[in-house]
Amino acid sequence: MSFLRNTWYVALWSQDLEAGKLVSRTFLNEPIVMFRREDGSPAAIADACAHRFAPLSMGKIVHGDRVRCPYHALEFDGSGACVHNPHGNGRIPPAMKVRSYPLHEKHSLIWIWMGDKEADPALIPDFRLLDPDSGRLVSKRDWILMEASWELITDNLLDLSHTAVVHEGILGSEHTIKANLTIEQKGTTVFVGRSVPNVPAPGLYDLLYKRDGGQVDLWADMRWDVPGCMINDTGVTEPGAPRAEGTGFFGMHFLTPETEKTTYYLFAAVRQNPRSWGEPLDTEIQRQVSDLRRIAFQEQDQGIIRAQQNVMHTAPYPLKYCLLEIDVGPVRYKRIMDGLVRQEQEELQAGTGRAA
Amino acid sequence: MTWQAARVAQVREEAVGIRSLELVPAGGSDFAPFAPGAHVELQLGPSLIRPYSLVNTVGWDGTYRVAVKLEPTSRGGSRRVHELREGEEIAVRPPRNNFPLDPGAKHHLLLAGGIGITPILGMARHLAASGGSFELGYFGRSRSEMAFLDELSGASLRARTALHVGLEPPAVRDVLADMLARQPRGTHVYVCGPSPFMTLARELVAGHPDLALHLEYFSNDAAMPDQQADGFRVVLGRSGRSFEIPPDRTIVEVLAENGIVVPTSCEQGVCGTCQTGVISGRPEHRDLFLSDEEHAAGDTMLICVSRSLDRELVLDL
Repeated sequence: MSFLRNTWYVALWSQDLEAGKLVSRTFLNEPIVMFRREDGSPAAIADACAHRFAPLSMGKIVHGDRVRCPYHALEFDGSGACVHNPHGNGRIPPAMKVRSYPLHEKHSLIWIWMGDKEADPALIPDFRLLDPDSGRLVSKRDWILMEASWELITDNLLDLSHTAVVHEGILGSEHTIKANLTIEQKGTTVFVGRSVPNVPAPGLYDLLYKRDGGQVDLWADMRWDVPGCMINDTGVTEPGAPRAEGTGFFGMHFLTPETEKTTYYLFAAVRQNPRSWGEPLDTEIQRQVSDLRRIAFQEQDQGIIRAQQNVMHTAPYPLKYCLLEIDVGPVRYKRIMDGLVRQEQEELQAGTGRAA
Repeated sequence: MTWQAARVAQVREEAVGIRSLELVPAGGSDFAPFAPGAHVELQLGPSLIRPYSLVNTVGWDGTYRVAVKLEPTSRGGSRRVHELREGEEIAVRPPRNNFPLDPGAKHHLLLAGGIGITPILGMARHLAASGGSFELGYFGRSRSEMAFLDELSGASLRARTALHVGLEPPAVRDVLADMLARQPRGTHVYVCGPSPFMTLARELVAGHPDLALHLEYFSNDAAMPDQQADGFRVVLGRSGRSFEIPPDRTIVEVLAENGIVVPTSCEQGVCGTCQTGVISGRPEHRDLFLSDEEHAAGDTMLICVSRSLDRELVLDL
């Protein structure tokens, strides 16, 4: 299956693109180097010199705005144009340029547009909860490179029944496996609701709520946007009480394919209705939230999804999922993505879009 | 129409095997108001969507109240309702009304069999409060299994309500025939109850061309206003072969029995494997695979769970 190109992917957290440094990533199989210009604006160009294809990310930033190739010292600006040739008469051949990618910095993230259509920042989904000036308590803005396809990770996130099994003790328990599920779609946004009444608070929730292992109503409602941007509105409250009286967090999840089999997975938790226990406990709680979520994703989710992917790629016979009720979310997002990719491919073949 | 979160504010035992739920909005917007005869759909599981008539018509307090009988043969709907506890959240779809009172009617005859009392009681309350002319006949197996008897024997309804308890089918026929014969010309007759009760009422009213009949179907689980209670017929557009789909079987099952194997996987209306084109007839969608727009368009359906609003459905098979 082809990747969707004309869409905003999350490239990295704003904090992870430091001034004066080159950061290399591969998105959708394309090596890219990113840096900040002198005015702080981010830039992304192909990470291969147009001359002999040396990775520009092995070079350095010169004159504030330019990347100098580590091999023959050709210099490229943020638009991908070669702006200095130190050899011979200094003439720059018209073909001496590299592809550049539109970037947009918003919600403490740097977004990248991989397609050839116009990159409209208005298409970036709303993640204002992450805005630096939101005044909210945010866990570490973290990321891992996951050895799993973006599709398998999305399947995981839109079917949170696995939390009762894979993250038992942290995010769920045997009591939370059966849940009330709802699904709704508005345009290309999918909402998957999940709630479990009157169960012992699972570890991470108990840590944030009453710290007594008492009974709670648990909710975990996922919002999904193209191509892999999710908010998990989740928390616990007294059985029967309104959610506003409980506590929880908005789990932010962003998936950007590196390759068909590997994915950049960015995440952070924005607390909702945080309870204060005073210092040093509050700081400790924030650290634990960050740590436990990283363990949940990097060790627990990756452990099972990597193994699952391995089974799927080595199976000597054709595989077809046998799905359950819990798969309503994964099925819905997949239909939307398949439709968008098909449409994009058809436009390319019809010549209405420029070749990728 | 979009789903709205609702919280179960109160669960009440109305009779043996009958529970009523009071639903309140769980955050977000208020519930939409409704007229007597309306029903709401409750999402009781991912592919478990059931319509239930609304009872609380008069002096509306912004809640939805439904009454549900636990059916021993329940395919999930009534069983799930009876498992709900106060404080639990479910999704509800705004009211629709296929069973409205006719504002032009001079007199109304309301007939309820068993749990069919739910829309009928809402109508009676409304008519009593607004000074409408009506009488109500309520048929049940035993008093302990009949809901809302306190209210029906209260001051505003007692004089116009006739309870018929424990009658054998021939006696039900006699009572109904009698009631119909006494109606003034132009009376509107509203009937909700189990399938045999509805069939009997339909047959008897047919003998009175001056009466107008309104039916609210309900089947296995509960009030099923839209569904073909007695099953429906599926015609295969390509071969012309046709099959009766009884109320307790799915289209996929019946076709498979007849050697027509439609590929399926989840058989729960989730995966979309059995998606089939609809040439004519209106599907009654029960899946979660198709979007609201696709449900509304009605030109495709998942035949593992979805059924028919019309007597006949022609499929592109």
